[in-house]
Amino acid sequence: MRQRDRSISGGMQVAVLGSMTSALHAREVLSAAAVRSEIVKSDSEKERGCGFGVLFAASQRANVKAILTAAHINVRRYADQATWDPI
Amino acid sequence: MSIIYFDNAATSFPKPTAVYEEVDRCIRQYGGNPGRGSHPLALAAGEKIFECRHRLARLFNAPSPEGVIFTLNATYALNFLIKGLLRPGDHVVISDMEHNAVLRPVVRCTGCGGIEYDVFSTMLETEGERRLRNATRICARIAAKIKPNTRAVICSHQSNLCSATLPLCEIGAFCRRHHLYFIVDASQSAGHLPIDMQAMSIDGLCVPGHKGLLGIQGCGAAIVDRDLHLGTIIEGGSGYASLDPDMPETLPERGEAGTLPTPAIAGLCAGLQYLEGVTLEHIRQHESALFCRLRDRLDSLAGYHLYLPEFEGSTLMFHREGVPSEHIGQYLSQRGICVRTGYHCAALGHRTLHTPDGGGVRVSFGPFNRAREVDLLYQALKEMP
Repeated sequence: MRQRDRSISGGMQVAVLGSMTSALHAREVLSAAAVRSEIVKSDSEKERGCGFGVLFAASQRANVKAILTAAHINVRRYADQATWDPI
Repeated sequence: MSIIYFDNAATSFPKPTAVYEEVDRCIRQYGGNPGRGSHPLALAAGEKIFECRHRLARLFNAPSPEGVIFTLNATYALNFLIKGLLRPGDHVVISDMEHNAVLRPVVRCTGCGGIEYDVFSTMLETEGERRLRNATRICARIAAKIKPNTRAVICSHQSNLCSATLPLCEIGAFCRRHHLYFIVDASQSAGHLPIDMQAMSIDGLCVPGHKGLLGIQGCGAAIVDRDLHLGTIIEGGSGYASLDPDMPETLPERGEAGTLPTPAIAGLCAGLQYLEGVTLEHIRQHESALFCRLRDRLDSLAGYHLYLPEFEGSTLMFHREGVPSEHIGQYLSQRGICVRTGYHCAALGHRTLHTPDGGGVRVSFGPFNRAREVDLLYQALKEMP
């Protein structure tokens, strides 16, 4: 069983995706590009109910966006991990 | 009494050891509800399901793993694609060898859904047709049934009565040229024959998990392009966008209301891994060798009629003149030999093959059958009064 990656810390952002399937796909393509990420459940109040996203270091934002776009993974929005406010 | 199992077209038995082990591991070690929570057990279950989507997408060269929609079985998958795709006023074309899993949902759509359908023949009808390649003949038959409102061609890859197959590459290319959706029931061919969704221009592929793919009963899949828009036939929880009263638009969740059968999907995943190791080509050769062994022996027995024996594969159907198929099934059953008799949920195919009242006796092989078992079946039939 995969354990949560505790090494991700510091300024963090979330790519808000939707389903677990999308989140797993996103984590997979990011991992293939050597970008560490972990799956998080998104803020239920701000996402019309339950959903998932991937958490990544804020410094990787441009890289993550390019990778997920290239993989045709639809990102609803990027959010700050602490506040879930759009970035 | 030892058992000889020749009913792999109904469900494969036994399964690879790894399948039993993975199902057990799933139930004991990672039995969370996939796609719901983000705790370790839910995540682990979700990861296994995603792995299975990947393996299926790879095996069939599907456009993406998100297009793999898990269902209860192939019948459910076919119902989902047929009812989710067709709209009132549409016309569809199906083959004359279809299982009830295709025929019945299509007929149901004609009854209350405003759908029309026609059936194309797969058999030789004139002497002149013998000069045509099978694929050319089949496509000409389909073309003759096309109307301005035809939306899809739906057919099985391999019959569940015998080993006759339809030329998917050519039918798929035909559908592309005529802007038709191409839906394929691969219940009997998945895990036995190569299927390439992109090369064969297949828009929707329906497979059971528990037959040639060697998983356990409880899951199947409808495999499509993730951008295909499908109506739903069942609605419920999807794990996200919970405040929205409608099902999400995105696949696979749009077609997966309610909790998925994670243990069955985990078993299927192990079955797929087994197939990757053994290879489809090896399995095809093995089953064809068993088929030929039985066909050649039955040919030597008086009164036996074999159906389309020129198509060598995993399934052989026969009848014995003057003996109801049920009697043969019962006789073999008493000797521990499992075959399937009757109409095999495919009355349309039986009519096409002109089987007698009571249908036929179907022998279907799997990767774990042995030549010696074929010889014992032959011996039993030879000694049958």
